[in-house]
Amino acid sequence: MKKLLKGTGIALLAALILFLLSLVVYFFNLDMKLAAKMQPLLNRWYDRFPRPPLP
Amino acid sequence: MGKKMNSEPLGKFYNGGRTRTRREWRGVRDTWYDYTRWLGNWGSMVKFLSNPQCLKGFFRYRWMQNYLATPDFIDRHTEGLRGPQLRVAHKEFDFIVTHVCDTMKSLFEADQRIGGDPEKSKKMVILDENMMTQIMNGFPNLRGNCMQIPAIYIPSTQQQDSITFYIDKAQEFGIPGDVCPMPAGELGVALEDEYPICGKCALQCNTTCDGSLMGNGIEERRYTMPTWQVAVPIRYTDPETRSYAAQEIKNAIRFVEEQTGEKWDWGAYFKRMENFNKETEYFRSWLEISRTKYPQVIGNNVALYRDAYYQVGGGRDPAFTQNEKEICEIMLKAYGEKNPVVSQARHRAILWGVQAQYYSAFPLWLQNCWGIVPLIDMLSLTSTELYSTTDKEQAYYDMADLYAKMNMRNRSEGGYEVGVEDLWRLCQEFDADTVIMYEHIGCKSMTGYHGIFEQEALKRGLHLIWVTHGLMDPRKASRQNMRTEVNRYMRAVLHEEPLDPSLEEFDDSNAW
Amino acid sequence: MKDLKYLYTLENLLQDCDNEMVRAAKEEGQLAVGTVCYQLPEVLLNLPGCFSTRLRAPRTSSMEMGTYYMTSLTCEYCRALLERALEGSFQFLDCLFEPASCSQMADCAEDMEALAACTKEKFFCQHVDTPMKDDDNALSHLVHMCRVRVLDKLHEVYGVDTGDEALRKAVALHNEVCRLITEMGEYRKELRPRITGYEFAVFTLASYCLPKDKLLPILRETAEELRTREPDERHKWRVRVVLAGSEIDDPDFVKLIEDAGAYVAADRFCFGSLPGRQEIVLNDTEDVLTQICRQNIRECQCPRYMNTAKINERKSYLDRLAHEYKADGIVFQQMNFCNFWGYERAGATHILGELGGWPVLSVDRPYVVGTSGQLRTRVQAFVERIELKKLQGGNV
Repeated sequence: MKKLLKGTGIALLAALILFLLSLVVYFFNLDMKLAAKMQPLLNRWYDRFPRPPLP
Repeated sequence: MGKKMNSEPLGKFYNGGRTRTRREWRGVRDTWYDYTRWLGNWGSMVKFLSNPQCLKGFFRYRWMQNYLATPDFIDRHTEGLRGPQLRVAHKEFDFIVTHVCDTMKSLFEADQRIGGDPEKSKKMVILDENMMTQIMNGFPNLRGNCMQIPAIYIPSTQQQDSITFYIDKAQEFGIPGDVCPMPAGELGVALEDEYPICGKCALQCNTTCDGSLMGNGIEERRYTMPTWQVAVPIRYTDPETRSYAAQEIKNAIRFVEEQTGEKWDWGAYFKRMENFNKETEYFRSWLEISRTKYPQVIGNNVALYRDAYYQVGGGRDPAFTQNEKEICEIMLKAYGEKNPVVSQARHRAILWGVQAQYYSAFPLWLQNCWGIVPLIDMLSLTSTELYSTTDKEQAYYDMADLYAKMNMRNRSEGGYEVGVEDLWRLCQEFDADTVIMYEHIGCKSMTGYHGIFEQEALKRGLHLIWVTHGLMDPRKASRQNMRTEVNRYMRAVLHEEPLDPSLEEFDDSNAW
Repeated sequence: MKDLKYLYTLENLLQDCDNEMVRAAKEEGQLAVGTVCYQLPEVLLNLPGCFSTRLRAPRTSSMEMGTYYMTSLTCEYCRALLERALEGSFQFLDCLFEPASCSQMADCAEDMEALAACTKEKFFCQHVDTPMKDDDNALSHLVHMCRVRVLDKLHEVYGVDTGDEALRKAVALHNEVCRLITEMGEYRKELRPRITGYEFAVFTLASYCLPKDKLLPILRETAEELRTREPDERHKWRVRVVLAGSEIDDPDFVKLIEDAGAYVAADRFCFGSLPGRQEIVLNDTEDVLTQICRQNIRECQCPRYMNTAKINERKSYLDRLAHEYKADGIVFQQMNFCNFWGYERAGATHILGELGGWPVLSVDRPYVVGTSGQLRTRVQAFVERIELKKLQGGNV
């Protein structure tokens, strides 16, 4: 029983932290700021694929 | 910052970078609502990427990276909104996110290039981007899918420079720089060999325009399946063209039957058209309210969404119908409460011409900056007829009618009556004093009416504000160029001050 | 070579749309039927009592009014026509048929209508939907539209006889013109041709813009002249080309190319003879209108024809012409801002050039181009490129 309560407490705490983190990410637009950093890397990745000429 | 409209200077979120500095504070209720919707959209996207085929597709096709900006796209299209308008916007745009994820999932699951399921591919008919999809309503066992929508159309709204790479490829091939960037971009994707390889057969169409038609001819060289072209009359308002158009539909259906082995199912068709008619009835009610002093579903909250269910949805997805029902409920409640859509409604406007894809949130800017209420746009003013749900012969004519009245095309072709004269009638109906006239630099269809528009607007005492743009190529006319054209008119001609001065000029040249 | 007797006469007549020959026909009571495109069978506009004139805007300098109405981002041919219409140059027309060929021409015709470019009481501008494929449905559509929107309209407004006999008479007239033009055109296959591309362009253009019955005696005499005309021992051309693409209603453009060293052996452009000047072969059993329309859509090489077979046919047609007329290369030109030919040019250059091995000069150009130094330089460079290729033993 104690273990269950402890487990639940940890889960709730983790959820609360995640929730607060998500609020921060949301409000300060951190998701988009990260996505913007990923784009140049992705472009280099896409450049690798061969481009057969038009038949 | 707070729960009132225009309580926060929105221009200050732009600092010349790719993203905005932060999201809006809209008061506790609306911010919480927006946050939960943001979580939901991320959930949809994570779910999409957790599918292995979708992950492969994401890493194979360059155009997929544009979807990283989806949350920003939604932020742009909800900028400054509060209360019912915010909820309507989310109902629509979040729905589009889910729908597009579903479309792409079906493409990637069938994509032979990335190890997709050949059986799924055989059950797919590839459709042209700019064509109506009601032909698929009678093939319940087949999936109609358009490759160009997720590759070009949607990305062009997600990021302003998403298509320039492909436009450049088309120009390197030899396509002149003055053509419409949409077919040029589509062709660029074909030249780069970046369309998924799937489908049992393909249908191409001469809608929207001459440029679309021509791009198709070259793109087809990449297709590995039989292709049929559906020719829709140019002068579709001429009643003498209807039997020809209906026969074109019959021929297209026969082609799909021959290629796929499926038989046309009238029961399925009529059921879906019932759905479609229901959606049309809801849309009519939106327009009804927009004609009043308290319009509710306007501007951005009509434009892209109407495209989606009218053309792409076509009545096949009851989720669209349910969504519209819920939007109507919000709308009617807000109308009953006389909810204002802007903090100060100074002008009522009709948006004519084709919108800039890279600035699809422009109507929202008109509201937020100048109190111009964008009641309705030309692309949304498509057919509001109710189509037959019983008569088989009439059904062919109905489908032909829909194909002719595809978004934008229903005004850019068909003649003076639908391209020019209808505008004045609509200004009266909606009690509009202003016309925002989009002038798409690469469009050869409506540009020829330029002088006539000016003369007629002057005769009628309407404010006609030209807004020049490059459709999908912001290098031709930036977002700020578009804003400047309105700013100049508002200041120089009308001597007005903006509701939000921070929105008059701000640097979003690098922004998504 | 000895000058052709009527070349100068036709050059002068073509300086104006409402010229002496047109006025003479009008004085006889003939109706002047304006047209802008191949899409409507020309023969239907040349019924007894009518003559067709394909609209152009010779000696265009400014297009300010046309540009005001249509902006600087549209086809100059359309703008030039609108400019002329607003100036009153088309007042002589009794009607105008616009076949919904392209959006810009449709807008131009509608602007002309809205701005009352022709003020005659019975003048009408008829927009006619035309097909974009060459299958059976397209044929029945064209037949139907020609019947209700062309023939019935002419009969209703002007009492023109549109019966089968009248159609056959118009075909007979059309065919004689085509026979003569084709005969003249065949000489271009000679390696020492007895007719220049420019001269041929003048006669062909005249056949589109002037009353055919009045032009016929000139064509007959010219054909006779050509039968015995001696070509020059040495000519100025270094290579032979097919000139393809969009609207060319100014023979000076052909002259420019020839002055730069490239003989224009075949004219695969709008206002040209390939197609456009082929006889219509009628049988006695089938409906005449259907036969006329069938030939029109089967032969049409306009890029607005969108079915796969037609798309491929256009390239193979050009390839065949280049072989038949012994061309060394292809000059593919396109009017600025033309959607149809812009894409077609790019596609054809890829298929005929990169894949087919033909040297292709791919250019876009303004409406008025007769004295363009830029274009002359491009053609000269193209000529040198072909010569070099020949010297290096490359196949052309």
